[in-house]
Amino acid sequence: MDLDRLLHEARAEVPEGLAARLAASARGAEAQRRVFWADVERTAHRALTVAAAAAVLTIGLAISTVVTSRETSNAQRLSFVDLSSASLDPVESAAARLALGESGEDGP
Amino acid sequence: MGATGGLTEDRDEEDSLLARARSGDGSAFEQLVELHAPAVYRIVAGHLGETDAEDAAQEVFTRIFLGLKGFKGDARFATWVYRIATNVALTRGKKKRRRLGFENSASPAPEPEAGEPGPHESLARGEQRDAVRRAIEQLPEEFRAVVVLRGIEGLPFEEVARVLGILRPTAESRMARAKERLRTLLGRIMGD
Repeated sequence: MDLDRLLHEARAEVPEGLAARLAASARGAEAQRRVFWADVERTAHRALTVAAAAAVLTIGLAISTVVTSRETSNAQRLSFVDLSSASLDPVESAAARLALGESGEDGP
Repeated sequence: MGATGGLTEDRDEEDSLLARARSGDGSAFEQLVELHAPAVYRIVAGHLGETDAEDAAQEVFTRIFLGLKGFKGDARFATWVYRIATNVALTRGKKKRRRLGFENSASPAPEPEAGEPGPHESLARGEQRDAVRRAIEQLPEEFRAVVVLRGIEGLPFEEVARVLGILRPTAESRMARAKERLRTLLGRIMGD
C-alpha cells in the first residue's frame, strides 16, 4: 500500500465544536495561567540543567587545578634535591648533614 | 477568478482579521481560531495522539492569543501558527516521554502473532491508522515534525521548511529518510 496514502489516512478527525471551545478557552484566565506555569516549569528545568552542567564543569576544573598545582610543587621540591649526594643509607645521610653543618651553611 | 486570486483574497481576509484581533476584537480572534483549529488539532494529534490533542491545541491558541500583539508579520500568520503548534507538540512530547521513560526504548510496531490472519485481512482502517501513528511516534523529533506537516497535514515542502526554520532540501531529505524508516516499521501493513 502507498505510504503517502497511509499517512494521509492517519490524520486525526477534528472533534465537533472544537474551534468554539478553543476560542473561548484561549482567552480565559485559567488557560493563560496554565501557559504561564508551563513556561515557569520549562525555564526552571532549563536552569537546573545549566546549573548541573556548570557544577560538573566547576568540580572538574577544581580537581584538575589541584592535581596540576600538586604536580608543580612536587617538581619544584625535587629540583632542590642534589641527586649526587642523595643516599638511602642513614649513616651516610647523617654524615652529609654533619658536613654541611660544619661548613657553616646551616648557621650565620 | 483563478486559484491565485482566491489565495490573495484569503490572505487579505486573514490580514484584516489579524489586525482586528490585535486591536482586541474578540470575534475576529474567534474567526482566526475557526480558520486554523483543524490544522492545529491535526498537527498536535500527529505528534501526541488524540487523547492529548485538544489540551495541546488549547495551549497553542492561548499562546497565539498572548503573542498576537508581538506578531510582526514577517512570516505568514499560518506559518507562525503551525510553528507554535509544532513547538508545543514537541515540548509536550518530550515531557511525556520523560515521564514514561521510553525515550530510548522504543520498540518496533507490534507484529501480529503467528496464526493470526495476514495484515491485509486483519487490519481494518482504524487499526491501520493506529499502527501508522505508533510508527510516527517512534521517529526522532526532526523526522516526526516533517512527517506530520508534510505527510499528514499535506503542506508544501516550502512551507514545511519555513515552519521548522530549515532549508527546503533539508526538509525533503528528512522526509525521504523518515519514509524509509516508516516503510521498515510498517513493512507488514504495506505488504512488502
